[in-house]
Amino acid sequence: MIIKKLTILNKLGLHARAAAKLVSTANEFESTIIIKKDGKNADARSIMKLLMLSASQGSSISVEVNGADQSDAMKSIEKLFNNKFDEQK
Amino acid sequence: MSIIITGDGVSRGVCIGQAIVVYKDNIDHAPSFISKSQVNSESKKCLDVINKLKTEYKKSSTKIKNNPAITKLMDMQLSFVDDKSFRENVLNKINNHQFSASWAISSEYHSMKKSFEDIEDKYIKERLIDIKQMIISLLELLQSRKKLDIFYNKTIENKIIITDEITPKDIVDIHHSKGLGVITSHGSRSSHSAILSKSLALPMLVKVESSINIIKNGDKLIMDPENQIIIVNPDEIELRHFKRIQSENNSLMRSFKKITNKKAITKDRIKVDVMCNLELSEEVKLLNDSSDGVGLFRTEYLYMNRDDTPTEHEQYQAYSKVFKKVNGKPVTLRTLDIGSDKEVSENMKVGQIAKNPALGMRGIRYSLYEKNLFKIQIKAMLRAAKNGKLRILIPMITTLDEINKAKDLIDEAKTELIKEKKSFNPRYEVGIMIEVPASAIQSNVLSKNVDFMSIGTNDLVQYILAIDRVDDEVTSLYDPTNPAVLQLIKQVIGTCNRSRIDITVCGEMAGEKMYTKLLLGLGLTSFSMHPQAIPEIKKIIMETDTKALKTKINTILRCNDYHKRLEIIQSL
Repeated sequence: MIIKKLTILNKLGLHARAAAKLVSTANEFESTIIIKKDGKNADARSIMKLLMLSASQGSSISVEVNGADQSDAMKSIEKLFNNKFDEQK
Repeated sequence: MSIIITGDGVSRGVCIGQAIVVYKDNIDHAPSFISKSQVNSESKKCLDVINKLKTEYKKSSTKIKNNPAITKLMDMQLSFVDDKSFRENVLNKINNHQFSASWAISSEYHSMKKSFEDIEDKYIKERLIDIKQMIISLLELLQSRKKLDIFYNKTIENKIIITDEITPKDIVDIHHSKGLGVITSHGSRSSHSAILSKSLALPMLVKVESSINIIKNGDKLIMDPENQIIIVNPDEIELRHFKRIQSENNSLMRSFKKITNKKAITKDRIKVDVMCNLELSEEVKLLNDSSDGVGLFRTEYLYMNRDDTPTEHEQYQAYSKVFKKVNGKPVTLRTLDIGSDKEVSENMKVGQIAKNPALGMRGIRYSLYEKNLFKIQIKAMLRAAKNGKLRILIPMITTLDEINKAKDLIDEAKTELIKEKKSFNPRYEVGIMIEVPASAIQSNVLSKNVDFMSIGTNDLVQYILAIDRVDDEVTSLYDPTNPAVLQLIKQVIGTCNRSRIDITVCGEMAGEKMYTKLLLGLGLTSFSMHPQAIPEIKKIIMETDTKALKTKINTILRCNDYHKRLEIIQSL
């Protein structure tokens, strides 16, 4: 299992479109992917659970990836976060 | 320990029973379970509709490919339907708790809604609207019909329903499903739902703001609308006390029955007509020989909760039922008036939906626009009255011109009936509702052109005071004893008495015991009210000497202090 702390950089935070992107990224892998924030857990494959984390810009989250393709999955997720979910600015 | 909460009592009757909490929100569903053997087919049904909706979203997403903004939105919707945890939770409720598919989906929505309520981010919070949309679509697919009949449901039999808001249709459904009583967190005592609950003798309390938070499914409740209280999980002493009141009420009702059969004559020998208001033709069952006829039959319920309009034959049957029951006494049938709080099919709405339906296309205005609908209704009335005494009552009259146009249409309807060789009663009366202030002020002119008038106090008060009686924030300002209101009512009664045409009050005021002597003092000799109120009002009339009221009535008409005015009214 890999655990990593990441910061939400995009302006709107983990809102619906960003969450949808995270879901589709997570769906590319077999590993289980859990996003944690303030004691709340969300399956990265559930957009509703991700929204309920209410993660705004600047909030820090931790990502737990566990499975055969865990390192590839973590790389993709990190990239997504660092690219601000492909949004401008 | 028991908890006591309060609200506004509507219809009377102590009732004791179990609570069933039904959240509205368009997504409500009364709890419903399935048997173990149905679990597999139910979860398959559920997965089927989820997949169906997914396909629908995909289809519309490809249709609008060249608009990236909408495509993105559709993709988001798609990821909501596709949501893993949503699907897992719903299936878990079906498989392990034997929830029906629709209850599983709606209860999952309600738990999601709770989580979303805590979210501060406004943008994320708003996504709940998208989720809600999806849930509604799923439920519609599941039911393969549009409206969810949450109250037309066996699970509410013998239960007290706790909900936020209630429509007239809901009340009818609850009545049919044999619910015991209704408690709502919003609403108003003078809404049509409240009127309906009174005439159906369904105990109801409104504006019980804390109800949704305090009362849980399955709680034992005592509700006493007359004393404005609800006791949640009562103890033995409270139960015993209210059971005694319940049985006392029953014997009181029996004693009222004796009064009902007497004529209402005041101490100074004035005969007062006490008629009843009906909403549904089924209500004629509540009628007995005691009333002096039907003072108001609201026909709009024939038009509600359906996609088409009722045919001449269907209306003929409904009206005939009423005529048959009253044995030659007058029957006042009011032509269609879709008031602002009534739900009708989209087909019946004219043009754009009115910004303020109370001031919009309703009553005679609508009838003169949809002339054929009006004529069909008139034809059904004239035919049903073949051996009866028909009084046609036209709502929302503002001008003399409208009266003349309505009469022309009635004549056209007669000509058509003659052509069609259908038998009907050529003798009938035509009267108007006095609810628009303009017609009250002009009653002198209008009275020369009609056979009778009927004051609809609810709307008249609403229009005089500019108070929306369903609006929680101003409903407390709704005051039928405002001197402006009383003076206008007095003026209309006086005009009609001088012109020797019948004048009736058919609004809520007529059936409320605190106003009976006031109205008698203003010169009224004809009341029309919901059947339940008749015995009590008759009793007050028989105890009144109208001559003795004069001085106090004059003081009331001049009194601008609300509390003093009420005090004098109560001392009458």
